[in-house]
Amino acid sequence: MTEALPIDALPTDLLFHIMSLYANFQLKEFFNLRLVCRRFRDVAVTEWHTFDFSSTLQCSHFLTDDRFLRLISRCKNLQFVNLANCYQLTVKSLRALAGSPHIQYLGLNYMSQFTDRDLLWLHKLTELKSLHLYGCNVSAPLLMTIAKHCRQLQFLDLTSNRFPLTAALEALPPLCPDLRDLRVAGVQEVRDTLLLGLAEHCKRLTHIDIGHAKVTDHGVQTLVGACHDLESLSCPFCPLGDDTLAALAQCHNLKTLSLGHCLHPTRPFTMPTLVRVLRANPTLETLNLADAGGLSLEDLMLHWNRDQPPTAPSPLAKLRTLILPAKPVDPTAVERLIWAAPEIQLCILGDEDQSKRLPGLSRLCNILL
Amino acid sequence: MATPAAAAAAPAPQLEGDIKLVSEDAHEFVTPKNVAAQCKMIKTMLEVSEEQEFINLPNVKGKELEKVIEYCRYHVQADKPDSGVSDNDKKTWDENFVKVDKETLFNLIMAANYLDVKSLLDLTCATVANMLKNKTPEEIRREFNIKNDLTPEEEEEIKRESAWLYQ
Repeated sequence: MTEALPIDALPTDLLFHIMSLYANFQLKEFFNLRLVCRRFRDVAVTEWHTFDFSSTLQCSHFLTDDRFLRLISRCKNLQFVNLANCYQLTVKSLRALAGSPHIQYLGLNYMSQFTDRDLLWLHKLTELKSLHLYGCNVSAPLLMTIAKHCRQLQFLDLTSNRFPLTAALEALPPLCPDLRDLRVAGVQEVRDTLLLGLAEHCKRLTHIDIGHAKVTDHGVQTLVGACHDLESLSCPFCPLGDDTLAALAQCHNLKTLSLGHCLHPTRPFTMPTLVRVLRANPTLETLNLADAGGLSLEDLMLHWNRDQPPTAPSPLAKLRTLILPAKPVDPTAVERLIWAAPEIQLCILGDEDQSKRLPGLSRLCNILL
Repeated sequence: MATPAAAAAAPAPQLEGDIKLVSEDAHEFVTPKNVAAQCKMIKTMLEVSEEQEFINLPNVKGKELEKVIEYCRYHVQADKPDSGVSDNDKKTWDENFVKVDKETLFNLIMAANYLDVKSLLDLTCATVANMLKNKTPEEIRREFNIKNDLTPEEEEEIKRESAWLYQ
């Protein structure tokens, strides 16, 4: 029988370290630790740095200002706080968070109860690296203030924000040059000026989501030409065409490419250009071209290895999700897809009745409309 | 104890050759300097005096020092870009490395802290952190031989504070 680990004999700094690693666990475990002994209670209360209240409905729905303030009141090194969906919280909690300057991650998704004035407290969090404001109401002046103070921001999610942010988004790139991931899908009046600013100032950008933006091929081309680490480009419902696709052949690390519903009036996407993108980015895992012009699975399967030696690696080797326009589907093309993309798990194309009739489709995990 | 491959890995001129590490209980380990230098504390000592032939480590016993050297030797090789060792392989090796009895694990934490090997400290502490996971306070006390010195009133206060989580 092994001896019990004399964990209580560890110097306090090492016990701190263990708890800081443990702190990624659930809130219930935080209380469990506090119930072990006095030393554990005191270390946990001061050292716990991660509170993810979004992990269960129980946490998010029943969290009140009083409960939250009691929890964080003695934390001296709060770093990660996710309050998504915590509907009961008010500005009191935001004000309290403003007193924890070391917070690097703050999740406030779906917290539309906060006003501009409430959210102004965020500008005190000058070490913020990751700010999640999906579905919140952020005005342009507020965003500008946050950007001016939180200059280490690397991740910013403003998806579905209901105010136009054009001027603030133009000012964002030079103020936050470390930005790696920007999500502004559904934000009104997102234009090329944002992409040009990102191209000039945020060259380490890896993810961008600008769905429904009023951008042009020129804006995306400039961005792609400058940000060589781009892994995810999501521009559904943007008026982009084959020039954008051609520019993406300059990328080599793309994992997600979402150009669904992009219908350029004169230069729609073409299959030869798409194949060039695929060959340049064998890393691609998700390709969404739903309702994007005349592309079809048959065409893709005809072109993907054209003029290539039989031994050439498949550019679809890592593809897991493929979404193509609804077209009549030839069973042979499906067989070839499964062979060319052995990792594929989700394929959305054709109509459901037709998909069910096709031999080979059953080997895919999911076929959706 | 050095392998020829490990010795050949020394890239920096000041880290060529071997150094003798002497544990608290007088066990001696002749180790390539580039392996020993994975311990920041030893690296600092080597930088201060390149000519020294041995280093006394009064806070580490032979058993744990041997394990630390084994860890450093593996990672010097495996972390080279051209080693061909995948991240998964390294993870598996690390997991097996910390499958030791609790006393050794505790002493390894102390040794990694004293010798300043951050990755080993994180690995061993994370192992202990995982041992805390999904346990009741009573189970944690049993697992780690901890005496409960909270008064019933103090326990009640903590339970009251967390009651909403269990509604």
